[in-house]
Parts: sequence; C-alpha cells; structure tokens
Amino acid sequence: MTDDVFFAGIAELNERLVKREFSTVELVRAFSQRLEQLGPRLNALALPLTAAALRRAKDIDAELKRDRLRGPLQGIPFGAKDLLAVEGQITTWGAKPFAAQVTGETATVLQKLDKTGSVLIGKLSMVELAGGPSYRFASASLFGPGLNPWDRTRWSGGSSSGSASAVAAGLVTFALGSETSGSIVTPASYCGVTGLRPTYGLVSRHGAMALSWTMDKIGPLCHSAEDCGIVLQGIAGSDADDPGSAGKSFYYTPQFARKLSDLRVGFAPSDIEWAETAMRPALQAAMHAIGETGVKMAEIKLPDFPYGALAGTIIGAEGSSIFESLITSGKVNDLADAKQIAGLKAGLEIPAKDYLKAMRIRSLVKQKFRELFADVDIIVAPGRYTVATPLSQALDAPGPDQPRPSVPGLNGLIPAGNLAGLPALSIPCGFAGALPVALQLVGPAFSENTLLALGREFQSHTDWHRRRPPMA
Amino acid sequence: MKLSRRKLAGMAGAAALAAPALAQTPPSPAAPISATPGDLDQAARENNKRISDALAKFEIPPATEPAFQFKA
Repeated sequence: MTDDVFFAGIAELNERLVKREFSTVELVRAFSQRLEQLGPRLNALALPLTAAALRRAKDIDAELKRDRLRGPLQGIPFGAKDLLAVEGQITTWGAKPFAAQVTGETATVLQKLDKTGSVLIGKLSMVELAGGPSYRFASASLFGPGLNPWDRTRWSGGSSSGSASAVAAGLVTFALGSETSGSIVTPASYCGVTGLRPTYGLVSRHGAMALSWTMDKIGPLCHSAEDCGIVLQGIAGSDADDPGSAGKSFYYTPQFARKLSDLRVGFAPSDIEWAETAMRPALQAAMHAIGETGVKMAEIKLPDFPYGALAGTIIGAEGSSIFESLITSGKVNDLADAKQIAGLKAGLEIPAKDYLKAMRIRSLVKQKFRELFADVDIIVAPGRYTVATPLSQALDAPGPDQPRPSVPGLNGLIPAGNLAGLPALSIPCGFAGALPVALQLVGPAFSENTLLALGREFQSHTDWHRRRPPMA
Repeated sequence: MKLSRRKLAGMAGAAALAAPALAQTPPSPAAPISATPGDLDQAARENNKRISDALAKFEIPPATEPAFQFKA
C-alpha cells in the first residue's frame, strides 16, 4: 500500500477494497497508525478508536468476501468532530469541563454512517463548545490550538479544526464537522479541503452537542466535491429525534445535475479587493475558472442586514441558555478562552426582546435571499478574505493593513448564509504563498446537488484539491 | 392581521432600505491582548448593549413572525 491511499477519493478506495487489492483491516490499520502518529502533531486527535475500528473492519471484510456490497462508503475510514456522541466513549466537546463526559447514545449521523459500512477510526479535536458565542485565540480548545498542516505556525481554523486538518494531512479519508456560523467553511478554506455545510435540517443533529438549536448543521469535510456528495447521501435524512429535521433525504445524483450553461452565478467584483493582497491572484484566476465552466456570471449585492449582530444575538442567547448550568455553577471558568467565558456569561443577559427581534429580522433575511435566488442559482465568494491566521494572533484583531474598498463585497455571506439556513460548498482554489485559498458556493435551501455539480466541474479542471501539505 | 407573502416581501424591501446604516455599525473594538477577565466581561456586556441599540433601530412590520415555529 503506497501513501497515495491516504489521499485517494472514496469511490477509488472502495473500488480497490472490492477488488481485494488490500483488505479493510489493512486500510483501517494504516490510517489509524497515521492518525495516531501525525494527529497529535497537529493537535487534531481527540480520541483514537483503533480497537473498535479494527473489529468493525474485520466485519466489513467478511461482508466483502460474501459480496455483500453496501455502496461506496463501505470500508472507508473516517473521523468525527468530538461533539458527536459515541456510546460509551468520552465526548469532550473540546472543553475542559466536559473532559470526562461519557455519552450514552451514538449520534444519528454516526449510526447512519455505520449502516453504510464506513469505519470510524477516531474523534477529532475542535474549538471548545464549537466556539460558543465567540473566542479570541486559536488556543480556545482542550486539545490546544489546531495546527495547520500547510504551516504549523498557523491556525487550522475553527471550530471543526481537527476535522479539516486531519483530512488535509491524509489522516482520514473524510471527516464530519459542524457549522453554526462558519465552522466548516473556515477550516476547510484554511486547510485546503472541500467542505459542505448542508441546508439547515437536512442532516440530523441528534447526539451532537447543541450550540444553537436554530443554526447548528452537521456536514462533511473531504478531498473533493464528489466525496462530499457521497458522504452527504450517507448522513442526510429525516430524524424524529431532531426537532429541526426537515424530513428530507438527499440523493447525490451528478448524472441528473442541471446543465452548467443554464446556471446563473452571482458575484461581487469588489470581493477581490476585500481579500488580503496575497490572495487576489488566486481568487481572480478561480473566478475566471468558474466563468469558464459555462455558467452565466452576474453581479449581485448581498441583501443589507446587520448579519453579525443577528448571528451574535441568536447564537449568544441560545448558546448561553443551553450552557446555563455550566455558567451558573462557575465551571465555565475552566474553559480555555477568556473571551468565550465572558461571552457565555453575557449571553445570559441578552434580553428576550433582542432575541425575538433578531429572529424576526431573520425571517426577512430568509425572504430577501429567496428573492435574490430568483435572479441567480448560486452565489460565489471567497471562502475567507484572509489566509490562515498566525497562532498567536488575536482573532478579533483588525485585518491586514490595507485600504478598504468603498463598495461592499459579499463578506457577510457566512453569517448571512447560516442565518438563512443555506447550503455552502467550500472548494480550494489556489494558494497565497504556502497557504490555501478557497471559494465558497452558496445556493438556495436544498440545492446541494447544484453546488456539488459546479464544484465537481471546477475540480475537474483544477488540481488544487489534490495538493498535499508538506508535513503529509 | 394576516399578511400575504407578497405584501410581506414588499415590507421586507422597505425594511431593508432602512438597513444600510445598521449594516455599517462598526464592529466591537478589539480588546488589548493584556485584557483581564473583568475587562472582557465588561466588553461583552457593552457589545450586548451596542447590538441591542442597533436592533432597536431596525424597523420591521408588526406581522413579521420570528424565524421559528412551534408545532403542536
């Protein structure tokens, strides 16, 4: 088995398993050793599950021997953000006060993946409490700062830090992360992997730590858009145990995707100027490559709302209610990040009128996006406007010292898309120096197949998603 | 009062017209690296207040319901 297997796509690995080029046990053992060896060097590993994974791999090999084929995920090793419960295992939520928490029931998404025959080999690190209302430093985690495989003096992004860095470094074939406002798109952008934030309600959150009942989503981080489609099909679906469940399934059907020449893609030209100077050539080339796929490009403006204030109020109020006993017991002070502690305490003081006002304005946000998507099918924007930040830099520090454009860009798209419950696909699109640059594609609710079709086409003409970080 | 989606959309448009000033509300200033927990508590409360003031200025039609639904 060569190192190539650590960066191979899901369908290719599964095909090689079915052809008996190697066994599931051999594959899982190789990935598990790599995860245990390199994971700690990135602060990416929360809990290895090697023994259970090898037992499961043996079962899968027996199935393959009997030609009991379950589909492309059968035998594929993966990792899960440490906010997803596994029965009888420690689930820390990345936070010291929960360092010894043993969870009862396995999360729905992990049960679903188990049915596909994929093999969970470890839990992956995360920012404490998935970031809570806010945090100041990359070190806001029980596991230490998530280190970026492209440059270990830089942050891997949060809050799905370990999920992104583990995929980038080839420690797992795919990983599950979660996003309340930016926690898949940001680490995917910083680590140069493909990340999919599904439509709110498409994937069950049962068994996942709650930060915001109305904004939490669970989604995959993978090597490609193709892999994101395969994993999403495995984890999506109705769940009576999740009150936010949309009651919908997802079938990854690239063969039935809309013709790209029928798609209208909205963008804001000033976005390039909003981005850090070193990122601009990569972003310009990537926007050009999107246009070359045959889609029709159209200039758009983001509906004008105070997205940051809305997301902050809703996540602050819901998060502090969820963690009320942690806050009032004083155990909140054991968290790693002082701004996170202060934000959680202050969240208990958000007046009901502000929360309700924010939720009412959110209805208008949703309506305005519905109108915008009458004109375009997809919005494209930079995944982030800066590259991965240095580990020591405060995350609330002002951005790079450069003139701000006078025209607004789409830089509120992460909170806006999350407030409206919209899906997003983050795709690597180049480098600024040694650090990855990404685009995000955002579409109307339940338009994942359209986003994946454009992402797949982009990745068929570029090789940014196949690049390997130096430490790998 | 029940509003049609069309009417609600029209009102949403009107509300959005009032939004630019709010959208440009400056973000909360970064605390110094040496900020103490007390400073950060104070900053978090001031941030709540700043957001609250911004939301209060945002006019929305009375019939706009919050973006969640209770199901009996």
